[in-house]
Amino acid sequence: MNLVINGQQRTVSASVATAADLLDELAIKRERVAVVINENVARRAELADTALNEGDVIEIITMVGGG
Amino acid sequence: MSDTITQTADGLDTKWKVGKYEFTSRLLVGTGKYATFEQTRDALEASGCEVVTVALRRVDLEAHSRGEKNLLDFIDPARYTILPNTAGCFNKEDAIRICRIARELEIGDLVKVEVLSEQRTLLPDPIETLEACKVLVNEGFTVMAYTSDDPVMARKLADAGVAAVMPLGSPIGSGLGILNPNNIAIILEESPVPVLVDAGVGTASDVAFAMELGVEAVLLNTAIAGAQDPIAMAHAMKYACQAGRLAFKAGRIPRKRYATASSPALDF
Repeated sequence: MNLVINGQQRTVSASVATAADLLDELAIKRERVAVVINENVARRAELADTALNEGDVIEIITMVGGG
Repeated sequence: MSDTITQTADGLDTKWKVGKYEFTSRLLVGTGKYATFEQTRDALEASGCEVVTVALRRVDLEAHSRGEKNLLDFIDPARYTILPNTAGCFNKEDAIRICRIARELEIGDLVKVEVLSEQRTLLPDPIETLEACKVLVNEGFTVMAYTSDDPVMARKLADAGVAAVMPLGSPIGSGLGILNPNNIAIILEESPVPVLVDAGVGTASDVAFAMELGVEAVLLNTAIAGAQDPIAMAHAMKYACQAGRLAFKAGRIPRKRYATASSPALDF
């Protein structure tokens, strides 16, 4: 499936069906990020139930240094 | 606010509260502008802070795939209360969006709302800030609002339900210290919520000065990260914050034009 992730076009494997699958594929720890799909903030408890669709625009947001 | 006052472990001070959160350290430290993550970690440790601010940004997927470490590898969430900020936002919509994203990080509902007007001065936009805060308070966030040293705006933010107002001492990173202590004093007199000085602190005496005015706590970043020896400055800030706070509680002598001798008149 083709997705836009953090501003970049990416193709993910066919086994990625949910937001949780995507984080697993990218080896990103769920506790460190929030996921936004097509401008909707996904609930962390629902990541495994949040289906991804072709062309979804996804932001994976984390905490970085700041004042 | 609860009237319960919890003493600190050394018995010299009381804890302070913002919303339902209670802290001992009155120094809040940012995680930006350090040379390395190790230095960030060591500076936070040296400062004795309990609250650290972070910004929210995209995961750097390329860096992540190369196995590079990131800030969260160096900050223990069990040790620190992480305070997400809305830095980089210049309008209320972006600030609101960032806070809603921050909520899904599940680190609490404490947020620092910072909505800036323009890049050169980084002064807060009062109208966007107020409108963002109204929405966020309504959505249940514990809002710490970064604002100018204008007592009118500080009061409007408090009336809008923010948990703390955070007037700047001077522009972010300027190192100019507290430029308008009279305004800060007025804000303190009128504020029904805790007042923190946030931004512009340059060195330890600025922190002590702010605490002596009676603010609840001080938030700073550049003064430590940009110092020639950040770890040493973090230690200095820790003690300055404590010194200023204790001096405030001790009640200073009045300022007088003329002298009052400290020793009795000579009698031989």
